[in-house]
Amino acid sequence: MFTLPIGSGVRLCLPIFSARLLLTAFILSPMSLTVVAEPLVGEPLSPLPTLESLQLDPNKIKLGERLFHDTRFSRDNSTACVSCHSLSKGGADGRKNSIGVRQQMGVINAPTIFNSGLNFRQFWDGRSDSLEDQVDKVVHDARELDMNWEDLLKLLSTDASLVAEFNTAYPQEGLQASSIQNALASYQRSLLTPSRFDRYLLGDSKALDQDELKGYQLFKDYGCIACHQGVNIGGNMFQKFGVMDDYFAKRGSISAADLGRFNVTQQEADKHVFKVPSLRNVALTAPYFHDGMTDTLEDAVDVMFRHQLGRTASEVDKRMIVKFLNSLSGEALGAKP
Amino acid sequence: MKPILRRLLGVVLSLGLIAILLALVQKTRSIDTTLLQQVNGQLRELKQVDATWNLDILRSKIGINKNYDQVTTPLQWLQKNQPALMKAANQANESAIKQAADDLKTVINEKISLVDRFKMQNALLKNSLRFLPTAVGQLRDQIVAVTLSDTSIGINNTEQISKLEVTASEMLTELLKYNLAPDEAIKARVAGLLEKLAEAPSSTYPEQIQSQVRMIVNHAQTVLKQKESEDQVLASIDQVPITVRIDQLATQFERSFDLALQEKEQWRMALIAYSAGLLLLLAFAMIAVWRSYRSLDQANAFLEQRVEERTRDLSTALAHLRESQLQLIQSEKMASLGQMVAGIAHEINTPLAYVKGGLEILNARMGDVDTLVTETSRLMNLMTQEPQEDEAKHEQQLADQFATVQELSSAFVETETVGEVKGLLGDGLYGIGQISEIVGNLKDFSRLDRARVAEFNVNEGIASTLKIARNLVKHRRIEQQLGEVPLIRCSPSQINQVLLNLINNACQATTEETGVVTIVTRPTEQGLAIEVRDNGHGISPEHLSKIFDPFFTTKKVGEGTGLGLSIVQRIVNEHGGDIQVDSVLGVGTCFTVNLPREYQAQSENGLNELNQGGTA
Repeated sequence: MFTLPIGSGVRLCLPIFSARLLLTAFILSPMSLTVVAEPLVGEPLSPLPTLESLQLDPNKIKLGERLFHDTRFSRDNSTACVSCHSLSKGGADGRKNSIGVRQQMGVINAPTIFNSGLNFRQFWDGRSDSLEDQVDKVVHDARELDMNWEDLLKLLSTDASLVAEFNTAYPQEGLQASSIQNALASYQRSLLTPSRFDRYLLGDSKALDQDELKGYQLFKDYGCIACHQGVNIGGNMFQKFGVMDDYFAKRGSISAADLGRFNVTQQEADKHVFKVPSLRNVALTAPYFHDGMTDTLEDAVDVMFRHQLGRTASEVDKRMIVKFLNSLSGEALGAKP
Repeated sequence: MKPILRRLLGVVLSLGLIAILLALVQKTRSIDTTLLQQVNGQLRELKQVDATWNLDILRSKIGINKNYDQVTTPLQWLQKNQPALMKAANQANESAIKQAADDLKTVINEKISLVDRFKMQNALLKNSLRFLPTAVGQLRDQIVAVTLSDTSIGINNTEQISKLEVTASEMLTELLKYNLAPDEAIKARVAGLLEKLAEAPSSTYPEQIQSQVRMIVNHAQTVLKQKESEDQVLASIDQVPITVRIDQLATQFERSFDLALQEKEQWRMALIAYSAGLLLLLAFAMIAVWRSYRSLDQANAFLEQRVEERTRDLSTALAHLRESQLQLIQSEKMASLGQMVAGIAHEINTPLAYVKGGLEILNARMGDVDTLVTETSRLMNLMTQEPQEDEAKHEQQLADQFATVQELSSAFVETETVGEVKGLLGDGLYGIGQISEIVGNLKDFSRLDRARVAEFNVNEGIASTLKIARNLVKHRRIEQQLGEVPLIRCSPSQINQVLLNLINNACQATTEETGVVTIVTRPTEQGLAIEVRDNGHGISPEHLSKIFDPFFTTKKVGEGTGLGLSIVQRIVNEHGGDIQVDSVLGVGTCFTVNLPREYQAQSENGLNELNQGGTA
């Protein structure tokens, strides 16, 4: 009964809001004034969904953002989520391995937080089914935040304004481990980074230049697309690292993290199997791979050709592919060439 | 202690019975079918999701799906719905359901990991299958280029290289065949051809060709390996008994629901039986209550009877009391009357003594008068009588008679008898006058000749009372300060009784030599006030509060009844007035009576009663 007026109010507001957005979009984007674009069909890559289509609760996103920056999540009050997932560093930290609580060196390269809601699993080894579970694991990890919910809740419950925000966003649960997880997950799901390439997929044929288009074609022809496909250009499957040529034998000094999914399933076949990372914002998230041993995108493309595709490509082709990869950076993130 | 324990036991017992009833009601609450419907709905949906999943896997396999997003969407569904399903299973709190749910979860996880593996293999297989024709073509181009440009190879080698190309092409054909229709024979042929390719005396070939061949072999082997395991994985995926497990879980849920229904039915029967038992108990309790109520009723009737008897006894006692009170009042009246009669007798005695003395003297004198009258009468006869025989003798007799009468009458004169008799008669008349005055006073005082209630001048009442009480008051100094008071309607004889009593008391409280009794009347707002003051010994404070109590007296036994002041108070109250007393020991006492002009009508009965008491 009493939710009706609120709901109808929102419904009343939304058209006005979206109409204003559309208006600004028309003014700002000269492209919109041209022919109405038709999205491309039959492509192995899909454009990002709109934030609206995810139907996230703005209160939860706001709350999650606040928590994302909260260093109380770490045992020594030094580290927050944002410490390793800086929004200005492509959603990662630019380090080979991240630095967690008590200045401890992590064991793996931090993946980007951007578009992580579109990944089918979380972590390089896919040990979390959901972002909520990922939050739980990061909070408890002795090298990352080294916290537990009991202590964290005790700490946060003294923060009246935070508790009030929780009571607003989660009227039934209030401040709880589950609501913290959901708030952070909601925030992460909202971190979508539409790129020029998305615009291309949506029918803006001029969003990519010729080299980039060529690079996209090569990306498909050489078979990169076999794994890096779908809406997140990866992130929806596992693959062994070094299928055509042994990566670890060449690199040496194999660590536990190098075993990948084996650590989760304990199956021989899962040794060195990792989640195929999303290539969105790949140009912003060097160094590369789970070990962070590759500094440049060009080298990363080389590694992939050698170990995953088991074939060679010309330097020109690889340059084109790198150019294409650069078009995957979120436009709002100030994509660098 | 024992009743408390029993009551406590009763409360605990009733609470226990109610608790059992509530528990039974709780147990028979209708089963929430929404949960079952929800679960059924989810399981149906899961079946649908699973079917679509299988379809998408096949689509991915044959390349209709351009990416694996569709193959991963079931994960999102599971992530969203599986916790609720597991929660429902746990809520069911039945091991069979939990087991079935766990089984379902296990097969789902199995399928998830199989699909993960499928994606891995499919991606590699697709790439290698795509690349192999290109690679073989590249090899051909390279061989052509080498044979054309490099003559150093030699004819023998050229043949072999050509053979290599043929082998590679053959292998590719067989491999593609194998991919379309996996067959052990074809696989063996492919393996043989690959061996041949790998065995080729490669060291003599140009490096470019060697590596190209290695690449081809590598990819072909990948195809063989991935194809085989992809088929295995697909077969395994096909065999994952998700549908069976879903049906099992659904069956378990339904079975548990049916069981719950049955159990509920049993509980319902139990509830009915229990309720019937409770009703029976209640009926017993009601019978017991009715019985005790009845006995209570009887006891009540008995009690009422007893109360009635007591009331009757009490009213009899009250009547007796009243009677004896009236008798007491009567005796007090008689006592007062006696006192008054004594006074009056004394009053009357004195004049009576004059009268008696005078009459006695008169009686004594009557002999002389009689003698005189007789001798005079004889003289008269002698004088008037004719001498019959002897003149001289007659003469003599006459002279003698005359001398006797003369002697007698001179003695009369000498002794002044007539004067004395007159004096005596005067005295006697005076005495009689006094007596008749006293009788008149008595009549005035008692007002027996007047109406019981009449307009009455209290000052007159005081005057007649003082006269009646003259015997008492004659030795006291009586000071009267009578004001101009209005006539009041009252019973005069009773007011006189009051006055007599107060004056009597005042005189008795004082001594003969020094006693002063002051009687004051004055008009008041309501009517008038009468004060009777004395300078006597006063009343001690401890007696002061008791003086109006019946039978309270400080006089010796026999002297007073102790009812005087009590009756005074009653008379005054019956007249609607009041009486107050002030007394200081050794200084004196003052009684003040306030009387209204009209006495209260409702107290007429009381007055009548008093009057009856007074006249009975």
